[in-house]
Parts: sequence; C-alpha cells; structure tokens
Amino acid sequence: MTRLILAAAAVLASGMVPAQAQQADGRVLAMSCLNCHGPGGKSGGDIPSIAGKSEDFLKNALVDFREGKRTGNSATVMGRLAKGYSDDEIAAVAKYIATLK
Amino acid sequence: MTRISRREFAAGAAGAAALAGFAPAALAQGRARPRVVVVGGGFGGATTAKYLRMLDKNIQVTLVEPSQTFYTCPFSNLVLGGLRTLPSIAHNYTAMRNKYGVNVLHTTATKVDAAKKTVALANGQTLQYDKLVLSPGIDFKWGAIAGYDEPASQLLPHAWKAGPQTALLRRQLEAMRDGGTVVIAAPADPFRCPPGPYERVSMIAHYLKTKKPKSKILILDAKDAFSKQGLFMGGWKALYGDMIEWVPLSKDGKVVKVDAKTRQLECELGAKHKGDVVNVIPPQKAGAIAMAAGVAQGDWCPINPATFESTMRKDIHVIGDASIAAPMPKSGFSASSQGKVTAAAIVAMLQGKEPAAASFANTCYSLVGPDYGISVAAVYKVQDGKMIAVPNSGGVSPAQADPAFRKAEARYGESWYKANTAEVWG
Repeated sequence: MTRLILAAAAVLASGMVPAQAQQADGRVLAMSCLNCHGPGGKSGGDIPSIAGKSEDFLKNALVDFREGKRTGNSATVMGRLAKGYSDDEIAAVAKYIATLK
Repeated sequence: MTRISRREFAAGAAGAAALAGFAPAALAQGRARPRVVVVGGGFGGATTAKYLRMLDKNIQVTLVEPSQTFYTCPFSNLVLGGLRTLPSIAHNYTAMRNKYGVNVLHTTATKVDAAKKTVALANGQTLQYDKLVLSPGIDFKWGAIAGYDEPASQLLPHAWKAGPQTALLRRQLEAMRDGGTVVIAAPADPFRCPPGPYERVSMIAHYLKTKKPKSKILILDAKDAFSKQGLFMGGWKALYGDMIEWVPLSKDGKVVKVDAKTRQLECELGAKHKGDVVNVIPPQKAGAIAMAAGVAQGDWCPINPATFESTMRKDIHVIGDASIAAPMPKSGFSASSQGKVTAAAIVAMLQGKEPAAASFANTCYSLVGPDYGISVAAVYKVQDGKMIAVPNSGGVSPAQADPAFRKAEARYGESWYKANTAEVWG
C-alpha cells in the first residue's frame, strides 16, 4: 500500500497522468522497429525493408510471427518481438508503417 | 505553428546570448519557440535530438557533445577481434546539423540550474531550456577496485567507452606472445551492455584461435550468471574448445585489487591471477552531469518511465545507461528506443498535450564467431507507473539451432548495426 501511495506521489510530482489513461499511438509503437529495419523503414542490409509494404501485408506478417506461423532462419527475433504486441497495437503499427514509402 | 527554415533556425540558435534572451513568459505567450537542450550525443541523446526535430520543426534543439567523432560500443568488440576497423564504427554529427537542423555544440555541460532552467557549458556559454534531456552514459567508479584508477586504465584498458581505449587493447592483444593469458574482469550488475563482456571474450578468442592458438582467456566475474549465458557457453565450446575459463563470483571471481604495473589481480577471497593482457571492466555509475544536476539517487537516476522525466527534478529527462529503467538493459538500442519515446513525450508536453502510451523495444545481437550470431529481444511498456517487459514476449535465440541459423543471426547483426547507426546518426 505504502508502495502504491509512493508511486502515485511520484506520478503526481512529475506532473504526469497514469499510463492507463493514454492512447496507443502507431508512430510511438513503430518507432523502435526502425532501429533494425532502418531509417524510414529502408534497411540496406539482410534485415528486410518494411517501407512500401501494405497495411494488410504488415498486419498479417506480424500476426504470423506472433502465432509462430513464420519459422526458420527468416524468423529469428521477430517471433519474440511480435509476442509483445496486442491485436490493436499490431493494427496501429501496420497502419503507421504502411505510410512509409 | 510556423515552419521555419534551417537558416533561420541556425541563426536563432547560434549563440548563448540569443538563447538566454528568451524569458519563460515569452514561451507561455506563444512568441518564442520552445528550446530543448540535449546533453550527450550517443545512442540516446542523438536519437532524441533528431526525433525532436523530425516530430516538431518548431522546437529549437541544441545537442551538447564534447566529441566530434563518436565510436560506438556496439561492434567495438569486433575491432578487438580483427573483424572491423575503428574508423568503421565512427559516426559524426554532420547529418544532425545539416539534415535535421540541430544546433550541435562540441563542448562539455558542467552545471545545471534546475530552478533557472539553465545549463552551463565548459566553453563559457549558458543555455536556457524549457526541457532538458540528459543522456550522459556512464562514468567509471575509479578506485572501486583498489589500484584501478584512470592512469591504471592506460596499462590495463577498460575499453568500455569505445575509441582510443579500444585501439589500446587491440594493440596489446597484437603484441601478446602466443601462449599468453588474457584476463578479463567483468563487473556486477547493473552495468553498460550486459552481454558485452562475453561477446568481447568471444571476439578475442576468435583472434587468438586464428593467430595465437596456444593462448588462454580467463574471465574473473563479479557475478554468478550473465546475459545469454547458455548461448555463449555453448558457442565457446563449439568454436574455441577449452580456450576460455569462466570464474564466477561464488568461485572467488570478484576482482577487488589490481597492480597495473605487474598486471596482477587479486580476488575477494584471496585468489591471485596474472595476465599478459588484462582488461578491467570497472563498476559504473551515471555520467557526471547527472550527478551535477541532482537527478541521481546513488549511482543511477530514477525516472518516470512514461516520459523518462526525472522523479527528482521537473523538466529534466534522463535516458539511456544513466537512467534506472530496469528491466530494460543498459544498451545502445534501449537508449535509442527511450530517446524516441522521450522526444514524442516532450513534443506532446510542450504543446500542452498528454503523451501517447510509451512503448519500447530492445534487440541486441552478439557475435560468438564470425558466422555465429546470437540475439536477445524484448518489448517493454509502462504498467501502474512501472517499466515492465511485456509478459510472454522476448527472449534469446534458441539453445539448439543449426549453423545456418547462427549464420543468419550473424548477418542480421551486421544489418542491425548498419540500420541502428543510420537511424541514430544518419
């Protein structure tokens, strides 16, 4: 309980509202993807580019990774990462990344 | 919001006098453009500066970084192994300036006045800020291992900040006789780059196997378990046989004293070792400016994980290795991911809006051999004000995998480095 109150105090002290009240944002969710898939989603290496892919393609690929339907040497880290996102989050990520041309 | 050209921005951000001239009231009245000062041009700071400008061109961003050239710790182990050159891991701030309109100052931030919202610089300038982002990385706790101070690191390199130290350790390895022993002292958690010491062991082993196969590597460790341990140990056995010996904390692995001149190390319970090349990775703490700004509690900086704003000082955000963001590891990838979320949160906060829900990722590749890569990956979010790893996600490479899988991860690691550094400095 004390811990909860302390956490609440810390939240108030830093002028922030609790995270639960916040909305998922496709861009914020997708920004970390670019550290591997490259600036603007263009890789330039063995990791595939994600720029220029359709929203449906991206959504299906992420769901397949998450459900373990993509396996083998092209599914090294993506299965582990995709498991970190809900359906809504995957939809938001796909929608944002589809805007990268 | 007016879009202002790069030239106008550069003129506006040119000097401290110009920057210091804005009164906070002017901002409230909407006459001035918000000013964000970012201290530290590594993975965290450089990403934040770039993303602030990408997300909102109205924000004036000043990046304070002493070095003109930044050598990444990621892939510096490959330099030790002879797979990369030091210039190939060097990055600069040209794109930051010319492509993104960030005002880059190559000097050191020395003092922060949180009440006046100013940062004092070693070049005599004082910068006024609306938001300050500190991404200072680590400093070493000199003397925490008796005898290991800054001069000692010229004899027993740490090479835990890449650059001249990396080159020094590489030269020592090149000069070592075949049949020599390389001793690596690894620190207790938390420290920068948890798999780093063990990738280093791997890369040095690769070099020795190729050039000096009678040599040995002894790891003296201040802990009993390490990142990707099973994968590293499996890889070592497969590639390097019995070249590598790991002495954990419980087997008296914790180094407490060194004699730099004789390259002798002494462990907690009295075991003594001597190396032909000795690499000491000392205990660490948040970079000096975090201490000076009063945002550290002990060695590291507590933050609100939703925005990375300090819980100790308003309008100061602390990201990267210096922050307490566990379970996120202290890695370059984590720092960059935090920098992006922080930039988005600052943009929202400066516009009086609520920041979007934070979401972070970390993906780190390590090279066990030139064609043998392994990885760790995880997704993080904020729950009840705390940073958590999303349950049932993330993890390390499979323990059992064929050589083609390990080779694929080695190639992905290369691609990861290229993309990651382009995303941060390109």
